[in-house]
Amino acid sequence: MINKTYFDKSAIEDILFTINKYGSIQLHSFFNEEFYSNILIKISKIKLKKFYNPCLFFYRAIDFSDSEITSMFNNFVRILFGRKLILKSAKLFCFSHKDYSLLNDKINEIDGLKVIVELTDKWNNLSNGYNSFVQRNQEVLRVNSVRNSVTILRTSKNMKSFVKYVNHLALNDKRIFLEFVYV
Amino acid sequence: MLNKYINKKYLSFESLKSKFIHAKPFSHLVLKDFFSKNFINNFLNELKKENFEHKESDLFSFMQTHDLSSSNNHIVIEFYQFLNSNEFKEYLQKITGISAFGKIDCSGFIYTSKDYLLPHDDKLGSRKIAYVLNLSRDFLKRDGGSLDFFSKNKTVKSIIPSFNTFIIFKVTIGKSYHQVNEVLIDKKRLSVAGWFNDK
Repeated sequence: MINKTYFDKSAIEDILFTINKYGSIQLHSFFNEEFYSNILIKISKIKLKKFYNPCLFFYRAIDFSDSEITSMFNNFVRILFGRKLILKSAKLFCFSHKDYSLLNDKINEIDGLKVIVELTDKWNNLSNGYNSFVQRNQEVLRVNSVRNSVTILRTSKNMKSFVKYVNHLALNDKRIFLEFVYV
Repeated sequence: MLNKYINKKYLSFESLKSKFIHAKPFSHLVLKDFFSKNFINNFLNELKKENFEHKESDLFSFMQTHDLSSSNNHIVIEFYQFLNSNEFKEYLQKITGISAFGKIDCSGFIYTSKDYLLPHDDKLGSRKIAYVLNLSRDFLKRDGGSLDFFSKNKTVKSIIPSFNTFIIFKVTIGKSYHQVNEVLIDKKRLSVAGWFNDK
């Protein structure tokens, strides 16, 4: 389950204040440990599909359909923003050595909210593989892998994003994260 | 002038012309020991004195010099002026059939461990012929740093960096896809690269 701290009234106010001021927030120790371990086990059983177009991307992903976890996040953002947000997409991503996604002239973020749920147990951040959000050719947010964290950010149609090429320091580790997009 | 700078075996261009046109997956040439030994050794020593700055984006990570046309080093400028000379461009035209008499782009690059350049076709502006002069010694396949050519989303040719190897390829939108494979060890992959442009 989600760490109870994040349902405190003052915590919700702080989270909203930070999102409104800075556009994003990363919440650490988001799930209690037992629940987080169970999610990792559940996720490890999901078969991912390879997406490969050398000039655009190279990774594994799949549409995420687990109703328990999806409902949990739908509920969390409803409590956070005081209204129901529409879930536009839910995807599970996996990046390992040599994987990447590039900025694409034809693809922008949408006006909405993105929730990145980090499901990576072990990751050397020197191997990169971070999410980078770019606006007017400037990086506005970098999401590094932090175990059991959730990053919430406001996105806009002027924004683009990519996942930085994963270098050989990743060894055999995989960066796995869920991405919920709300409008 | 060609005599002074280029290995004599490359002065006859008829066989090169055929090799270039028929090369797969797109027109290219890999010319080993291309420049005369004294010249390339001097140039290498002087190039190392240039300022290389780290550059990074979604597409690449490497160290790069300014365009070598702005160098203060007379040996580096001599190299640049040779590549930018009408005589050398005419020589390339005879080999490739491509007229590229505009100003060249020319920078030094160093790829160290973890550096890379992801797949792209180089097509931008007036670029007609891309070139790479490898200046690294002792690179092995397992070290990474190869220049890879793609066809139908697959690597079909890998060129391991070797000293004084000059590579040229025709820049074609949607076709000349290539990358520099990540360098996997603590070695420096040094090269000079750029484009011969249309006027």
